[in-house]
This record gives sequence, structure tokens and C-alpha cells, in this order.
Amino acid sequence: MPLIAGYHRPTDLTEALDLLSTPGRIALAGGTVINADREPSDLEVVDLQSLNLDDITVENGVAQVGAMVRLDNLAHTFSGDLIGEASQRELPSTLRTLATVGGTVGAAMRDSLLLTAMLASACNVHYADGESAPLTSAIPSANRLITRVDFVAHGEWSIHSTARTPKDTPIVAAVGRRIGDRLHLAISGVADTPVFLSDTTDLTSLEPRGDFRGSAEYRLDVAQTLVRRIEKELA
Amino acid sequence: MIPIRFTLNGKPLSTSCLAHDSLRTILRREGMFSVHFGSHSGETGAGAILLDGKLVSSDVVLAAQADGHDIVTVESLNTSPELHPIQAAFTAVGAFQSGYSAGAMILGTLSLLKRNPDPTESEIRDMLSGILDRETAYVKPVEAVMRAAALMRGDVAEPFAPAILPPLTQHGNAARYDENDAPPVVSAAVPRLIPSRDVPDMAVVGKPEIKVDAVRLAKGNPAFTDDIDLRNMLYARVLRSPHAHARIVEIDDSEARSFPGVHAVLHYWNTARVKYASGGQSWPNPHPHDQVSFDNKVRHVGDRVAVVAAETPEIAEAACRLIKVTYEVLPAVLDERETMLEGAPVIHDEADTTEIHDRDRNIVHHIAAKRGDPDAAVANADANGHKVFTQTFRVHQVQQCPIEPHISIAWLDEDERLVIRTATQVPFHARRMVAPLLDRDIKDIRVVKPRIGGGFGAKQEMLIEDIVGHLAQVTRRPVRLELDRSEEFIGSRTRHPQTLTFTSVVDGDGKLVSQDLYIIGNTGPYGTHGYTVQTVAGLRGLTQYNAPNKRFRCDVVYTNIPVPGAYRGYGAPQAEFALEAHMEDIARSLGEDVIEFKRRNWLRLGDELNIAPHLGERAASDEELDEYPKVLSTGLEECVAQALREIGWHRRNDPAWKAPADRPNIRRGLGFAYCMHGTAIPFLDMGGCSIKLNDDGSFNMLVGATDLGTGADTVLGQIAAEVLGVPLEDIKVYSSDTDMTPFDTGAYASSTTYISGTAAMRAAEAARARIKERAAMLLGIEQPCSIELRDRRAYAPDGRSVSMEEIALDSLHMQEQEQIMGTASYVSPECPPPFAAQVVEVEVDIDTGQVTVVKMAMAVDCGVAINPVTASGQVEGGMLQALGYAHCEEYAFDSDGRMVNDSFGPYHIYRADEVPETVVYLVQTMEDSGPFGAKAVAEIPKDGVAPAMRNAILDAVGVAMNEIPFTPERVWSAMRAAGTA
Ligand SMILES: Cc1cc2nc3c(=O)[nH]c(=O)nc-3n(C[C@H](O)[C@H](O)[C@H](O)COP(=O)(O)OP(=O)(O)OC[C@H]3O[C@@H](n4cnc5c(N)ncnc54)[C@H](O)[C@@H]3O)c2cc1C
Ligand code: FES
Repeated sequence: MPLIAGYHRPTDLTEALDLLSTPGRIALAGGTVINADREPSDLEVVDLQSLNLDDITVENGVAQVGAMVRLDNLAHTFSGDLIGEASQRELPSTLRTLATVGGTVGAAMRDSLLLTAMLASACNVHYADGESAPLTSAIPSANRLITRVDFVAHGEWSIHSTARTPKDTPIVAAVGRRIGDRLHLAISGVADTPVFLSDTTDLTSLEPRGDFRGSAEYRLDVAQTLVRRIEKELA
Repeated sequence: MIPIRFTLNGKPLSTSCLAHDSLRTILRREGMFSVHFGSHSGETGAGAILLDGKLVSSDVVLAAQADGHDIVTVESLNTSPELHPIQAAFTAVGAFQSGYSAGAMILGTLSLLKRNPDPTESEIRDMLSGILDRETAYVKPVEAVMRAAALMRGDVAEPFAPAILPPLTQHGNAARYDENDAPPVVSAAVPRLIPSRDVPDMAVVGKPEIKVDAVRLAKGNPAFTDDIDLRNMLYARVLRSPHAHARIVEIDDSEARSFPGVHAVLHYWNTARVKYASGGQSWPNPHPHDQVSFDNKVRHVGDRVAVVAAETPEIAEAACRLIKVTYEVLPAVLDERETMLEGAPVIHDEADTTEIHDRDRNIVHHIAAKRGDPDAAVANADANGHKVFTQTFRVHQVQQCPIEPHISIAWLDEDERLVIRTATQVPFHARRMVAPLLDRDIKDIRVVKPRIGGGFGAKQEMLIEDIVGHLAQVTRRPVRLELDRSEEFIGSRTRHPQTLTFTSVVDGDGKLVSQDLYIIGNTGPYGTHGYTVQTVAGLRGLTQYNAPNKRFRCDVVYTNIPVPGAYRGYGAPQAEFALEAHMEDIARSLGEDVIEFKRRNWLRLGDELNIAPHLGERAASDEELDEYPKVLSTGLEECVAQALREIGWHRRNDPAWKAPADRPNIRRGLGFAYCMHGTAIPFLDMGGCSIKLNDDGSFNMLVGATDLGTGADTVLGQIAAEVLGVPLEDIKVYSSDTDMTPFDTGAYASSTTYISGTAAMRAAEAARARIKERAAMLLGIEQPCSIELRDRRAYAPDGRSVSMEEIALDSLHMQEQEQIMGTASYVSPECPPPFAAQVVEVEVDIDTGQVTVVKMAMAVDCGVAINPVTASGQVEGGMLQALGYAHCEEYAFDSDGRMVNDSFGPYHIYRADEVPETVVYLVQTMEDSGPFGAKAVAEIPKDGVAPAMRNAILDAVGVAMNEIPFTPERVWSAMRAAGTA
């Protein structure tokens, strides 16, 4: 645990925003990132659990998901769909029950499969001030309180990934979803956060950070292979 | 303080916490000792509990977050002496080894079955995915959940027992492979047992008895080192080096000392400089003695600099940050091949470390042993029409990863003696080794080993006992030190990396003429187990095939990596990877069938172990001996036959299987490795046991042996029960406490069943002799030896009998009173090898290099498995650790020698939802030198997976990988280099 100096549990959004307006305070969702951090800090946390941000609705194939919805709930609700599969694979059983949608966007991990899947699902992020932005431009969502996200929860999809073992965090993962007649593609492991591949993105122009799991050269090569596989599968 | 209220196990609880307190901390404070520490970031699952009915890691939940919620721990099920059906199911199938994560598994099952009374295997595996288990390969836990589901649905469960199979071989000859003969269809968790006609049927030995500690583990009772509450306890935290190699120029601890709540700060200025070697080995500990408690030089990132004892862990950590250390940073070297080169930094330049072989070149030891003349064999090869094969292999650094990290608690007792309660595999060695560092007599130290949450060699070390000892002496208060996960990686022990070069000469008939092995063994900054591990690597690399000429040479070298030490297998996994890869490649280049080639050369019954006596624990020698130990039992051919049938070996020749038409990027392959291990160190490993009879005819058995979760207590109990003619439940086993239990060298070298087991057998025999005499007295019989003990009674030849209880009451209270007691110890002149056949099936993605292991099977000849369930559990868990070694585990460093993946996840150990199908066969043989025919089983499963996987990749895609682990990029690069990708 970091040396968290203070704990707050607001009961409405106004109170939450008020609390968060003081520097040195951050939103606490599932806590799998914040509470696992061992670096000393004098953070105060603002726990979002009592803000009623845990609703899920689906209308016309578009899902509205509260920021505090846990990944196990997503996996269950969207079982059989890309989002369900990505939520299931994101974390093991004992952490999936804690981690949230809002935290996943907030943490913006380079290897997040769920975030990659959301990018491929035309995801929008909604903030407490009433504004919203497409996820493609919302990462990283510096210090803005997320209340919910929406995304397309239907259409053919596919995940292709490469990892050391079957359930290890992918070194590179490519995700595709067909929305209407367009194929939406996103990919993790080739930049500091997952990237959406627009029609104009040139994969080979990306400059991944290599590490012991995969060099930059390897990541780019695999990315191209995986994207090709998705394009073929969802052609 | 923040006031919090939640429901704990059905009862409302009001308490308070600090903002940073984790839920785990508060639950343990409330006495919920089943909630264990594995890491701060929650990925081990050892601290998982139910929060509003869902399984969550309590490490990453703030106690304050739990306010208003419903919390359940496994203690909620402990409402009566009986086990809850879920607990009963886990114990029935032997699903717990150390049981450190028992609470989490049981709660996960409870929650899963509530949602879904009839879960599929994949749902069960998903539930277990967040609970890392380093011991069982999840095989028996999965079976346990299925059984629990059946019990909860009201089904009747059959007793869990091995599947008895007929042999495929006769008289030790090779079997003919029949591709139409399918393997038996049995649940993976069930051990397949092929009995030997030489082994008689017994009452307790050979039976799948439930472990003697099952209840305490299933209930999560306070059994582990940390599970005690001591008044006024202080918490220690070690300040560790950020540099791989540096001199400490100055330490300013003034701020740390004056920080409120700090009671002591120790470092090299205020701690005596007493040299020692930390490897938990017999007296006298091998030289060089190159360590001190706190040094003025650091030699790896994570090395000890100072330690603080304070009122809370947080204060200790904060105080560590206040210690100002001025370093003179020195160049560092990590690679064993570079450290011997000119210009490399000298790692031990201090004058008071002696007996370093070549200090300036960082060579700690040079080891050499020889039979015949391997140089001549190479020189004359051409002339003789022989072929020479030379290959170099590189094996990397990995960690034992016990889910319970190192933990020790020390205090001064009422007699001012120092008590150290510690998670150790070697309590007696630890007591002897720590004494001089603390300036105490051995008699004034008591080391208590409670249950251990896994060790695998990491705890075969006197690692932190000196630190808590120093602090308890200085502060006169109890002091606790628990390593966190990062420290467990960088500040405990690891497997030795090595570079191995094999040179073999093969004659025109495909027989080995000579085998030569040169190893550069990387012992990191300290010698510890460096000498012995490399010796065992030589022994294992050069024993299992016959060749008249053999040589082992080794340079054991210092580097600046985190310290290698003992790790299950102890040098064998390294050597066997190289050997079985090398032999595979020789066979291929000769155009031979790999198994036929190996078979022609492998050891058979009666063959000599011709290099073994030259590679002793303490010295190597070239001198010819009059006599060499021989193989006196082997079930190898049966192992090979069962393993090949299980994996469907003929598919190697089926192109349609190897390149499936519907998955164009996939290639399949099968690989084989032959394994041989040792059983204990002859003339060195010693175990003691004492047994006494109680009023009710039960027995207390005290053993020095340390059960790490391996089931040793159970196996030793079974051996005694068999001798004494009582059920296992009548033997109360206690291990180990240096004040009370007899000496034992400790849990290592696959010695416990064989050595301590023989001690247990002999102690029981001594007690039995007295029992028979007393029974003869009561029955009025002249010849005690005609009495037979069985079913808790002593029977005369005419059928009359007295009960064990009557004998006990008579001997303790009635006439010629005496305490019936047997004591014995054992050291073996032999080291009978267990044998095994390992097979692995893989799929390789030819575009990305990703390898998926589909199946692993091992058939082991371990003599008589005293308990087939615990024995098969050992093999399952060992194979999965070995798979991690081969496939995904590795230490990754930055350019400054800092480990960049010192947590689970980046350092990946296999999860329940991704393990390949894992199957175990136990091939019985009768080893006359072992107790009831037993040999060892604990380490051999570590030996074969890496080479079998490597050979399977070779079979699939034609690339020979001479370096582990087989991560995607390595395989991809190898395929590219070979032009196959
Ligand atoms: C052992 C372990 C393994 C992990 N493995 C992976 C992995 O494989 N892949 C992966 O991608 N991640 C992984 N993670 C990271 C993490 O679990 C996920 O990113 C998770 O989804 C974060 O969710 P949370 O609710 O727990 O976040 P928190 O820890 O509560 O918060 C994370 C960040 O998001 C911010 N935040 C949270 N909610 C909001 C909100 N509503 N509005 C604005 N900001 C918000 C927080 O302030 C914080 O900065 C792992 C974590 C651990 C401990
Ligand atoms: S009692 Fe003496 S030999 Fe039987």
C-alpha cells in the first residue's frame, strides 16, 4: 500500500468533484492500481463507490456502462461479445472483481486488452461535468472524473494476440470489430497506450518501446501479422 | 484513525483503521489468520476473501473501502470439529501441499458453487486463476472443486485412489510401441500406478492416506510463521542497495534513529564483522565464507545495506528512506562468461575472504573430475571412425517463488534464550550458522519451524535469521521481518544461470565413447551453494549415460546478479536440459531414432554410476576406486512405454497432424527427455526420529525433517504406522523444533522420504520391539518375536491378542513401568537413482514464435510411492515449475543490473486457467535400500520438461534452441535465423 494519507467517500457527484478539486487527491475506483502502488506518496483518495456509477444499460446495440462497473460484471453481462471476452482476459479472478471500467480508462495501461477492445468498439467517455469525448482522444484522461462510457456491443469481432503463455498479458494484441460495414481495429503493445488504427494509420510508422518480452522490431512484426489475421477473419 | 464497520463472518464488527491499512492487515489483526500475505499487489491471491460474496484480493482493498460491506473468511466455516464439505473435498484428493492459499481456494469454491452448483472445468480454472499455486499445478485443486460440487449436490463421492494399470513391459525390456493402444481414460488428478510384483501389499504404506495436517490447513488455522501474536512486537525493514556493485563510503543514520517509533538501526558500523557462508549445508560450511551480516560493500542490487526495527512496518519503511548512504559506484558484471575476462571488476577484493580459487578473475572454485581419457577419445576420433559432437547451452536465472515469502520472528524468552520462529527448510543448520553471528552459544538458541508456505530451496539458507536475531538482542523486544515480493526476487535466492558445453564422442555403433562437460556456473555475488550446485550439475549431466571416458570441469564464478542458491533440482535441471538436447541432436545428425539412440546408451540395472563418487559434496577427485555404486532398481523402460503411449508418440510421423490444414500458421511437435536423479547425499544427509507410546495406544512422533508442504510428515507417519500396526491417525507427527525434535539435515536433496523415512522406520521398529516384549508378558508368551502387530493390537500365534491401549496402560501405570520409546537416526551409504520419462506436446505459431504447451506427461520410477497421492502431487507441481523455467520465467535486468520484472505478472508463473494437461504415472520398483522400497520423487520432475519442450519445438519447426526460456521472440528469432519464419 502507498502511504495514503486520507480517505474520503463522497455520496454525490458534486461532493466528489469538490473533494477532487484539491491538489493531491485522486479518484479511487477498484484500487487495483492505486492500492498496489508501493511508492511512498501522500495521496488522499476519493472513493467513488457511493456515487451510483454502477449501472449497465444496452439500447440499440450500444451499451452505457457506469465508471464503477467491475470487470467481472462486464465479463458476465457481455459474455460472448468482444467486451466480455476482453474483460475476462484482462485480469484474474481475484482482481477482476475489483477493477472497474473507469479505472481501466484512468490507468491507461499500454497492455490493456479491455482498453484495446473499447477502442475498437467506438467507445465514448463521459465526464462528471457533462462533457464527453471519444476514447481515441480521451487517453490519457488527465484528472477528469469519468462517470460512464458507452460503446458498441454488437457486431462480429476477433482478438488475436501473442503472449508468453495462453493467459499472460499479451505482448501485442490486435482487436477488430465490425460496426456496420466498417472494420474497427485497435492494437496494444506498440505504443505507450493502446492505439486505434484509423484508415490512415501506418503501422510501420509506430515506434514501440521494446522490453524483455518483445523488442520494438518484434512488436511491429507481430502487430502486422495479427492485424492481417483479423482483416482476413473479418473480411 | 478512521472508524469502520463491516460484517465479518456474519457478525457485525466495529473497529478503526488508518487510511493506508489494507483489508488484509485489519482481518489478520482481528484474528483471521487464514488470510495470508503473498504480495502487496494482490496477484498471488493468498489473501483472497469474499467481499459481498465475491472473491477479491484483500491486499489491494483498503480497509476503509470495506466499510459497510460483508466480509467472509474461511474461519466462517469452522463451526465444528468436522470439515465443511468443501474443505473435506480438498483434503480427500490431496489438493493442499503447503496449504498457504487454502483459505482463498475454499472461499473461491464456496462463491463459485453458490452461483453455479455444477461448474465446468474451465469455470473452475477461471475461479482459481487469481490464486497462484507453486505446488500443485492446480491438478488436484480442480479435482477438489469438482468433488466439492458433487458433495454439495448430495452425490456420493468414491474414495480418491490411484488407477491401477497393467505394465506394458516385461522383465525390464523395451516395449514394442503400438499406436492402436490408447492410454487409459482417467481424470488427470488420479495417479496412474503400475504396481511391481516385488512389492507386498501393506496396510498403510502405499495407500492414498489423507495428509496428517489436512484439517489445520483446510480450516486456515494459525499454522504458519506469521500466525502468532506477540506483545510489543517490532517490525523490521531492510534498506537494500540500488547499485549492482558499490562501496559504502558513509552511512548517516541520525535522522532515521531519531524518527519517532524507531528502535534500532543496524549496518556495518555497528554490527560485528563475522564471516559466514549462508548456504544451509552440513558442518563445516563450504568455503569461501564471503558474507557478513552488514558489509561496507554491496555486490548486487538488493544487497543488504542496513535494517531498521520500528513500531510499525510503515515507520520502518519511512525510516529506511531517511538513512543517507554515500556510495562509490563500481563497475558491475552480470554475465558468467564476462566476469572471468581481463578488466572485469573484482567482486571480492576484501582481505578477510579467503579460499577463493582465483580472486582476480572472480573464479570462486574450479572443479575437475575425470574417468578415463576424454581428450584422447576426441584426439583419436577420426582415426577410430568416431564422431565428435560439441554444443554450448545457456540457462538463465529464475526464482523459487514460494507464495509465502521469507519470514522470521525472533525474541528473547524467559531464560534470555533467543527463539527464532522462521520459515526455513533447515532449522538445525540455521541454528548452528546463526550462533557465531549473534555471538551466542548454540545452546542459547532455539529455532522453531512451523508450517512453511513453500520453499523449493529458497529457504535452504540462513537468510534473514541473523537480522531478526541481531535486532531482538539489541531491542530486547520481539522483532518480525517479512520480505515483500520484490525482495523475495532480488534479496533471497534463485537458480544458478550457467553456460554448459558438452563434447561427446560416438562410435560407429552409435555408442558413447566419451562425454565431457564444462560448466561456467554463475554463483552471483556470494558462494553459498555455488560449489555444490555445480557439482550436482556435473553429476547429473554425466551419470545417466554409459561412457568409459568422462570428464567434468567447472568454473564457479562471482557476478553481480541477485544471489543464486538452492532450487529444487539443484543443478540437475540445468545439466539435463543441455544433456537431453545434446543427445537429441546427436541422434538426429546420425539419422537415428532418438529413443533408440538414448536407449543404447542409458544406464540399465547393474550398470555403474561411474562418475558419482568422484563428485562429492565436499571435494572432487580423479582417483580410481575399487568399487562403484550400481543401479539396483530401475523401471525406466516401463516409464518410457507408458509416457510414449500417453502422448501418442506415433503422431510425430503424421504430417497431417504436424501441420494442421485448418490452422496454417500452426506446427505441432512432440518431445521426449529421459531423466535420472539422486536420492539424498550419501554419507552426509542424516535424519533422526523418536517415537513414544501414549496411554491410549497412540504415538507421538518427533522428527527433525521439515515438511514444506511435500507431505513429508504424512509419509513419515505412514511408515511408522505400518511398522507399528496402527492407522495413520494414531501417529501424531511433530516437526520441527531444535529444542525438541532430533537433528535432521533438513528438507533438501530429495532426502526426506529416504533418509528421515528410514529413521522413522527404525525408531518405530525399536518401539515395536519393546511393545512386543510387553505384549508377550501380558499374553504369557515366551517368544516376543512371534507376536504380530496389526489393527491396533498385538496378536499371539494362537490368535489371542491385547490392544495397544492395554499395553500402554500396563507399561505406563501397572507393572515395571516404563516409557516405551524408540529413537533412531539414519545416514545412507547409497544414493539410489529414481528414473523417469518426460514427454511434452507443443504447438508453435510460425509467424510469431509463440509456443503453446498442450500436454505434459511424466512417468516416474520412484521405487514404492509411500503415498501415491502426495507423490503424484509432487510430480505435477514439479513439472509445472519446470515448465515455467522452460517457457516463461526469467530475470530481466536493465543495464545497471536492476531487475525490471520483480513482481508476478511481468515475472510470469503459470495460472490455473492456462496449464497444459498434466498427467503422472508412478511406476513401482522395489528399492531394497529405501524404507518399504522407496526412492525419491520430489526433484526429478524438475529435470525433463525443458529438454522435452525444446525437442518438441525442434520436432515441430526444425529449430534447435540452445537457450531457455522459449519466449515468443526467442523462437521467432531462431526461426528467422534458420530461414523457417
Ligand atoms: C497484479 C495486477 C495485474 C494487473 N494486470 C493488468 C493487465 O494485465 N492489464 C492491464 O491493463 N492492467 C493490469 N493491471 C492494472 C489494473 O488492474 C487495471 O488497469 C484496472 O482496470 C484498474 O481499475 P481500478 O478500478 O482497479 O483502478 P484504480 O486503481 O482504482 O484506479 C486506477 C487509475 O484510474 C483513475 N480512476 C479510477 N476511476 C476513475 C474515474 N471514474 N474517473 C477518472 N479517473 C479514474 C485513478 O485515479 C487511478 O489513477 C494489473 C494490476 C495488478 C495489481
Ligand atoms: S524372542 Fe528371542 S528370538 Fe524370538
